[in-house]
Amino acid sequence: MDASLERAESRRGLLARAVALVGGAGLSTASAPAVLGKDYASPREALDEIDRLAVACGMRLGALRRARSGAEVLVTRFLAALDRHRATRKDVRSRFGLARGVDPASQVGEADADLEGLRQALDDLMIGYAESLPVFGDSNTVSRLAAHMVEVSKLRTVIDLWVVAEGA
Amino acid sequence: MRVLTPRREFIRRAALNAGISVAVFDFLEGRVAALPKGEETDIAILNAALGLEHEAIGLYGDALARNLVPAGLREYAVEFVGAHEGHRDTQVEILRERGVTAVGPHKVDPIRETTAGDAVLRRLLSIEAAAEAAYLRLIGQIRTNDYLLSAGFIVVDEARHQTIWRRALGLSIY
Repeated sequence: MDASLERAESRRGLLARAVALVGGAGLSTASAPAVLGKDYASPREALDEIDRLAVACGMRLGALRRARSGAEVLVTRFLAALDRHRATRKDVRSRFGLARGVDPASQVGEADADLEGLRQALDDLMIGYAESLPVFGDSNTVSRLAAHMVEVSKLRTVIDLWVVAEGA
Repeated sequence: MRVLTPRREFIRRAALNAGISVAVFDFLEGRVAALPKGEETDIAILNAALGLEHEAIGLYGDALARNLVPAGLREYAVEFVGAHEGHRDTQVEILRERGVTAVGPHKVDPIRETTAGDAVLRRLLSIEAAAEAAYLRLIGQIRTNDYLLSAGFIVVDEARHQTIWRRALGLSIY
């Protein structure tokens, strides 16, 4: 099977597990972290995790830009999207009366420039958004974060297509 | 005179075909700002989403059966129809757990084109764009966590499908 299809199968598997989780398949709510990875206890915990995952994506994008001059336009657009998302999360924190999140400028360290790693980082961020939605209990916040989640899915798909093209 | 865009027209037709509630229909059309909180709203949203999934499955099925998807992209269409079937089954199961019978598939208008090409891809793209728009519009109105979580995973799938068709057509991703 094509690698991209295997990944799609994996995502569908995750969805199926989500359904199994909630569908009375013998799994309790307490099983959620083991099955889906995260079951956030509070908006702050969810936003902190999304911030952390977004910073990881940003660092990988920076590394990609340094490693591949041809990626400049794409990286600039992706980073602009992540910046917009961060500004919205900052606003959400304010709405919920929460402390400030991670300052990306404070994060130092080396990130790999490989496309597969970037795709995985975007995947993690996308799933982080999806898993966070139930914790907010607020229509406006859910709608705004879901829109960002969809943008991350699109960015991830672009990288996925790039990986597939390089492998062809 | 009010003119509906193709996306809005698609949502309207799928919604009408699926027999969704007036409240959800008005919300999708932007005539009301929010839906009443509660289980009934979730069930109405589930049935509306099912209508979209049935429409997508029908169109992909038609395109694949008549070899209307360009050869190099056929595997994506196969993947995507499988994903829509998964979305359908997920939401049917959620309805079943609530003791509600899901709406069945409706008759889907066949694709007008008779040969594979960009026009068919644009038709498939329009389904994905409409589905993404509808899920994004409705997701904030979902009240139960189990369905909200599932809807999150579904809408990222729709976004992936849309992105691949947009790239195939040489369009910007958003």
